[in-house]
Amino acid sequence: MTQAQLKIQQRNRLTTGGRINREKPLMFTFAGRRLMGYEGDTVASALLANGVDIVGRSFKYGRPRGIMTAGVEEPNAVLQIGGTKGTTIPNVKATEQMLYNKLACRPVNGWPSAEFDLMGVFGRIGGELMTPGFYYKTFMWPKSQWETYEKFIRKAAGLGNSPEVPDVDLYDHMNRHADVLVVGAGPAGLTAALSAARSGSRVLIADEQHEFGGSLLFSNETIDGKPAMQWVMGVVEELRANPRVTMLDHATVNGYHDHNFLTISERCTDYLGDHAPRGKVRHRMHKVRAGSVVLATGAHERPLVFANNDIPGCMVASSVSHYINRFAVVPGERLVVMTCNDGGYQCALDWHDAGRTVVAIVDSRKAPDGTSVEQAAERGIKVITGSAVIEAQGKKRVHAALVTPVNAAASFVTGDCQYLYCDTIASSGGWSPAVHLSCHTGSRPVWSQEVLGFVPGLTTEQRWTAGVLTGKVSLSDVLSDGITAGTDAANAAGFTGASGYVAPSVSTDNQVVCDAQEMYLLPHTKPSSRAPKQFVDMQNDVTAAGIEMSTREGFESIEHVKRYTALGFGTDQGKTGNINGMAIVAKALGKTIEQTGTTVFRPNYTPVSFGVVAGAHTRELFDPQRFTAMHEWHLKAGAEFESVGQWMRPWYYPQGEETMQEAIAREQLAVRASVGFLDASTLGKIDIQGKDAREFLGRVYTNAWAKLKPGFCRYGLMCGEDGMVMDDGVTACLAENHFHMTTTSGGAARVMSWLEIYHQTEWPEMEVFFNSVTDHWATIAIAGPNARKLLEKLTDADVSAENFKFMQWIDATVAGVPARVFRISFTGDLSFEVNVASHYALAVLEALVEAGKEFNLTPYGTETMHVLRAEKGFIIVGQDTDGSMTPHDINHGWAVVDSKPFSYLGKRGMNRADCLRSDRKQLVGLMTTNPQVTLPEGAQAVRNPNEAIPMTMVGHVTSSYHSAFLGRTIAMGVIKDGLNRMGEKVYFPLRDGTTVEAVICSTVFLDPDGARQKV
Amino acid sequence: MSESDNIVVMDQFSKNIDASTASVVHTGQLNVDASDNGANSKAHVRLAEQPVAGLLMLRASSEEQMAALGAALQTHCGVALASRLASNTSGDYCVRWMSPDAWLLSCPLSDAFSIEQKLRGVVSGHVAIVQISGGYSVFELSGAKALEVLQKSSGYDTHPDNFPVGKVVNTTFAKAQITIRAVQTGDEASYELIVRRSFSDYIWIWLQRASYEYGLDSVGG
Repeated sequence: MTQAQLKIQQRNRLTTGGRINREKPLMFTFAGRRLMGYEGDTVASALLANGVDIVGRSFKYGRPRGIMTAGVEEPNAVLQIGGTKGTTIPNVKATEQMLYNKLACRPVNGWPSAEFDLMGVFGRIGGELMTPGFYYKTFMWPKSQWETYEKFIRKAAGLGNSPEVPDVDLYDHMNRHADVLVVGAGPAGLTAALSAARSGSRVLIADEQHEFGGSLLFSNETIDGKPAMQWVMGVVEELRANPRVTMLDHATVNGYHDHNFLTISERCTDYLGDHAPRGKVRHRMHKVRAGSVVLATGAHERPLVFANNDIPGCMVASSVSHYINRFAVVPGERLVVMTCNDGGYQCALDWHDAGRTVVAIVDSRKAPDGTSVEQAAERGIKVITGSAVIEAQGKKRVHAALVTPVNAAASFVTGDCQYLYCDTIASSGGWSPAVHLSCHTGSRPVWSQEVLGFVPGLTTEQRWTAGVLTGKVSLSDVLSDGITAGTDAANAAGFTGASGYVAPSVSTDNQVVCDAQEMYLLPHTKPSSRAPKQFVDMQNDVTAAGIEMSTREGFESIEHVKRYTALGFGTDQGKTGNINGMAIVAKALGKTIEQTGTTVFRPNYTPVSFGVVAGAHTRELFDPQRFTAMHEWHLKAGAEFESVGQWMRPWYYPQGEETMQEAIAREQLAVRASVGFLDASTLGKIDIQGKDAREFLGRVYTNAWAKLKPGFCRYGLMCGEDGMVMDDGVTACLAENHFHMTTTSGGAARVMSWLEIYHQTEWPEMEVFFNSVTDHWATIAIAGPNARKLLEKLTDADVSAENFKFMQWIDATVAGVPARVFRISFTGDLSFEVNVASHYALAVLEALVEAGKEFNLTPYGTETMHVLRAEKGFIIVGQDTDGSMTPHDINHGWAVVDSKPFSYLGKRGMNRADCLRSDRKQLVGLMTTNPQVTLPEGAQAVRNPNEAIPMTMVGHVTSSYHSAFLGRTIAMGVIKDGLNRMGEKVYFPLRDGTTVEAVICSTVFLDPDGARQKV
Repeated sequence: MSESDNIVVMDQFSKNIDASTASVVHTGQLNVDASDNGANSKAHVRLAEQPVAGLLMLRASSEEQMAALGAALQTHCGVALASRLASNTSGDYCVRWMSPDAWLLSCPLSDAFSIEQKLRGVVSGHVAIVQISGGYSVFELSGAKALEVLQKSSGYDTHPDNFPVGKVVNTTFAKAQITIRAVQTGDEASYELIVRRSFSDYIWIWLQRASYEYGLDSVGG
């Protein structure tokens, strides 16, 4: 089709007017059909311009549905958008999405298609049977089949397809701070922002639309004698020129949290394409901390509920004006308006002025008068008063409205029907203020009989409301309300200068208004249960009859009705239907709407993408990866890494084609035979200074520190108040008042906090300071029989066995760098831990590797470290302990000294009766009868392998390895009463049906006398 | 090694190895090259890694010790002890308030030991001085969009209204902790970021990602 032909296809497009750019035609496809719209269109306005009636099928009954509104409240026009697998987006509202060139969209439901829908057939046949709770009642039996049913139901009734490949776009978060945050850039929001800005405050104003203006985008009114949008442009210009004002468009304020913390989802580039241009962020979450907040969120017009009110062509009255005035689209030929207030008249006036036929305005009021009625009369539009549209007729588009006279309260039909032939029925039941955000922090909305809607309630936040949100109707009231709110909000944020802003004059200042009638569900000649469906919530197919039935079934709380009928559960969150539904519940229960109340409003106001929630915290930035100062060397050496806490530690260093098992066997043997080295920099290190440092250590460790001399190190065990082991490590006495504590790699931050908590809250009188030096010191552990020979090549210091004993430390220059060397061992072999300032670590390591060549110096990773320490029975806190083990449970009673003068943390906890039971799980060694079988870590132990299931479990394996040096497997585990059962057998029944037999033994498998480490 | 107050003071400076040129960032490349952003021909953010500095953490909690420490700092480094959330700078020396009982002093790496000795020669009792030169890396983030990059990274209000030149704050930064000092504000804004050494790669990559849409020039990394 040529562009000219596509242009002609827009049969509902007016030749002039609207805020669209006819010079910029945009091509797009809907369900494969090629169409054209203009820059400035939403997808909805472009579809309506092309006369597309059906945009989807309803969720439950499969009924054809058309576009009903022009904003975020849209229940029907929910589309799948995007051209590729990586850019497909489900459940986009056509009324929210701006049109861009080559946009591809399709309905999210309707199977096999929205035009011909299988569920529609099902809905017509079974419709009467599909009562509320239909799925609960029907498909739950037999229970085992639910998953099968669910697949079918989802396929037939689901909403959109989630993407199957990673998102190609970038998302982002931004923190914002403002003295005044203004939500909504309609007339009230704009005057609020301008007055706040003129007072000098930092202002942030956000609006969900493509352009600022709110309702003025489709208004015929004039402000200061100019078209309303000209006035808007002037305000926008002034705001833009002010460097203290930030303006966000395409930005929906979605959450209002405590302490004026609000979240805004900005759809930065969605108006440009299905993915962001290169280098741009697609969606951005703004996290705003505001001094004051002005809510100017406006209102949503309520449709009226009548029979078959879901046939395409049934629309909300103001949206018709919106399409005509903003987009130059008249969404039909022949219009019937159903209204109970003056607002409904405007769309008839606009329709008429656009040159199309207004069949009639049907007004439920007996004798409406005032300016709107006069304007209709001037145009010769027929007004049928005291009557109601009780039913729409048509299949894929409205073809007639059934109108009857009604009683004064419009609660029942009083006369004969007449058919009005039309293709569009616009209804107005009045306006529901958009109170959503005002309720997020727990404030309940208040029913106003004057407004005939809920208005924001009291709040504890520094918050103002302005404009239509508060129930104001006339534009001049709305404008001055914004000025007051903006000025007050700025004042409260500390900007007391008067803005001097006077409300502009408006063309509708002298409008005479006729009182609205309260109206939700229109009557029918039949009761709701027998009349054609009267839809309340279009997206979830909730009908007036369904709501009434749920009240008869005993659901009286509005929260229960909501959950039973699914009222307001859709992606539109019931913005058009909720109040009507509540009114129907109230009437059925003989209560007022006020008594019935609303359901709870929670963030988000509209759906947001997962991307904007995740922001940049994805892939390599999902969780911080910490590296040691020697990381570059490990990379070059081809190390495989494992994550320990957030540290990326070398796991093992495969050579050539080596498997992991081969690599760690080689590493183990190299250490035991000659010498290896480990990057031990990740251990937590805390510098402790002060005259009370020693006493403090005595209180936080279970063992004694009073006699540790400068120059010496000691292993320490730390417990929580509950007496359970929480951390361990070696602490060195550097000087009488100076200690160097080490912690586990993963426990460093926890231990630091633990020390500070006790110092700051319990023992503030103690003179001691703790400073983390974890990152400052890089640590290379050299281990193996040749460790001393290697170290001697790099230092002039005396590191001989006589002068540098096990558990001592010295200052030494190693490879030309000042170092602190600890003679401690986590392998059971001769071992030195060399600490240098991190910026020298790489140089020292390189020198070490060079010097180590003659000794076959072998780098080893955490896996080999685990095996070597297990051979010696050294525990790893967090692996061999799990927070439920006392030092006695892990056979570390030797590290508990009860005679200390001040006591210590954990003493009382570990001496509770339960902790003193002799049959607690205790840490022991486990030697499998078959030396080549490796027990799985976590395997459960039983004493009798032939016991019937459920078997009596007596413990489990905590560490298990194949030791290359010992030529067999070794394991540690906790076994009930294990320390008294040395030599006894336990059995491990495994998942594969086999059972492994093992003997309880000492945890020390190698060199029990410690001869290897004391050479 | 020297001792005073039964505390070990260690000269950790090596004359043999020049640590100033080594980068702290090992892997620091984002999977998209932030400098090659077609959408922005001009870089609006600059990121530079600073040479390793001497860093001393100074601790004191009594008025008396603080006064003594302040006087010693004034004498030997020409800077006063910084008040709450502030910093004082003089030549190579900058002292930053870190918490009610902690200050971070930066100096040339080779001076760290002598300054620690000088300070310890004057103050005694319940104070602590710890050299942590190797524990941190220092980045300079600057350019017209540097403020936006900070806003993406931290919940602290870094607008000049609240974060004028010289102010220092310890705060969260993405999922890490950081010390930020405002060096200059406005169009040529510049900020000093002090990062735990082991988090350097994470922060470096984060900053590349946050700067991507503005265009980035980076030095080091």
